[in-house]
Amino acid sequence: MLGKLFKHEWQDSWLIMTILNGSVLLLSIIGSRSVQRYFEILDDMDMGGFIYSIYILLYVFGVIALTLAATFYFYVRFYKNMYTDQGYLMHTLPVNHNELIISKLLVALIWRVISFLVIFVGVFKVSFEIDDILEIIDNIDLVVSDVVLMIILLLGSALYSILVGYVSISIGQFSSKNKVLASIGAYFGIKVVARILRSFLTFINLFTFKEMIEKFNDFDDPSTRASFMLILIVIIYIACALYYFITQWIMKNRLNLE
Amino acid sequence: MSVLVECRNLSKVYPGGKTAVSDLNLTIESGRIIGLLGPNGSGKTTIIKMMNGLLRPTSGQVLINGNEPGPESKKDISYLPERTYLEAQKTVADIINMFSDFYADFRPERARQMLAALNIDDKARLKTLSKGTKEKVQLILVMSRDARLYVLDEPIAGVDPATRDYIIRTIINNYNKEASVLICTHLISDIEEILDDVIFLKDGHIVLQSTAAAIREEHGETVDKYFREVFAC
Repeated sequence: MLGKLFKHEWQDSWLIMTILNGSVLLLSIIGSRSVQRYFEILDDMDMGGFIYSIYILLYVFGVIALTLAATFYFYVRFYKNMYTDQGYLMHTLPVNHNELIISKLLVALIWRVISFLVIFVGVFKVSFEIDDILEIIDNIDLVVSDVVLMIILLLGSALYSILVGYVSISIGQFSSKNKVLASIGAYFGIKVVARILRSFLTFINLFTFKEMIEKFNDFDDPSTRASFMLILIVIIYIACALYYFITQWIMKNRLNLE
Repeated sequence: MSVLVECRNLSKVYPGGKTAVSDLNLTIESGRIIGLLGPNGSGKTTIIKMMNGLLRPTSGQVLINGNEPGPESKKDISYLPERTYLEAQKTVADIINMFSDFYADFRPERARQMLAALNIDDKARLKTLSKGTKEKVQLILVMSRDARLYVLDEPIAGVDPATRDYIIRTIINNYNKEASVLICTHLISDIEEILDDVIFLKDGHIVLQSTAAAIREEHGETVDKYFREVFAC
């Protein structure tokens, strides 16, 4: 049934997400280096610099808007499907709670990756020409483990940003008066707690892993980079697992649709 | 006849302390149309939600065809909530596809026949339909399944008399005769003629469980009138 849930979730979200990503892609094509040359010609007439500044501003806003809109869209979908009237259908399908959450999580994650690639490609296209990009890649002294760990870390960050919304929305369901407001409150509450924990961990690390921290400054060493990323990966995935299980527990044990 | 639903010492206390259902024992057999009747706040919807796995009991147990509420029990129940649960952006055809995907007992051709009979365009988006039409679409979807148990929560509340007649006809004509239909309502007179059994609920307790015929025979009045006597304020 997971496949069927995934299929319907994908069908319901692909159009809006394609429009969002397509808009940013279009902005990056318009602003690519080759197009910038025309601005440089215009620059002779004292107009290019001004127009290009406006373009860059638009592009930055576009990227921020895409990220926020995509995140917000999947949060709202989760809330509506699971905890409003639509929940009467979703929770009476012959599927379990894990399948419901995982199908949504997977679709949101795939779109996160697509959005990341769109922004990544866009930033390069806006900032560099193909030759510059090849030169940059050539100059980076990355080993395979760096790339693998970086991908795992980025996926973990994407999962984290989705699950922090799901768990906040689920915690918000405990409120009998305003579930949306309670969800927003839970979201910022979790952010504050996470920040405090991060500061606490850094504080502990300073004393217990002093040598390691000093070693971390030596980022030329691949093993140092790997250790640093591994620690981040463990922390992020533990937080993801925690948020997932809280969401699943609330859905299973405390579901109370109006 | 086999036992379809069994509630054993079922209780639900909401956060805040309100007891909605208290130590309820109930058995529903197959092949019956049962009216779950009671005034507002008597616990009807809470019981139905617990049967459907939308609420967890505080204590006790509910079994559907021997299974606790979960993916297996949901294959057996076709549930019509009192809310409009369909996504407004979707077309009627989208929803039919969705039901076909998830419910092995869903009969899309039956659904399309009923939609055609009511002149409902399956390409129409839900948001363009009136409240009454949406309710008809939901009922068509629910009754197009060959389920073991149909649970209908207030299926005739808030609709015009013509729609009410259509809904009642749909229930009678489409339910699988081996199955049972549990109708939860406080509009008794409209459905009284189709009921085999009656359950009266008050403050989360069963105050009467009997056949509709027995009530008429023993009390010499309709179920509706007897209900008004029992629940007189």
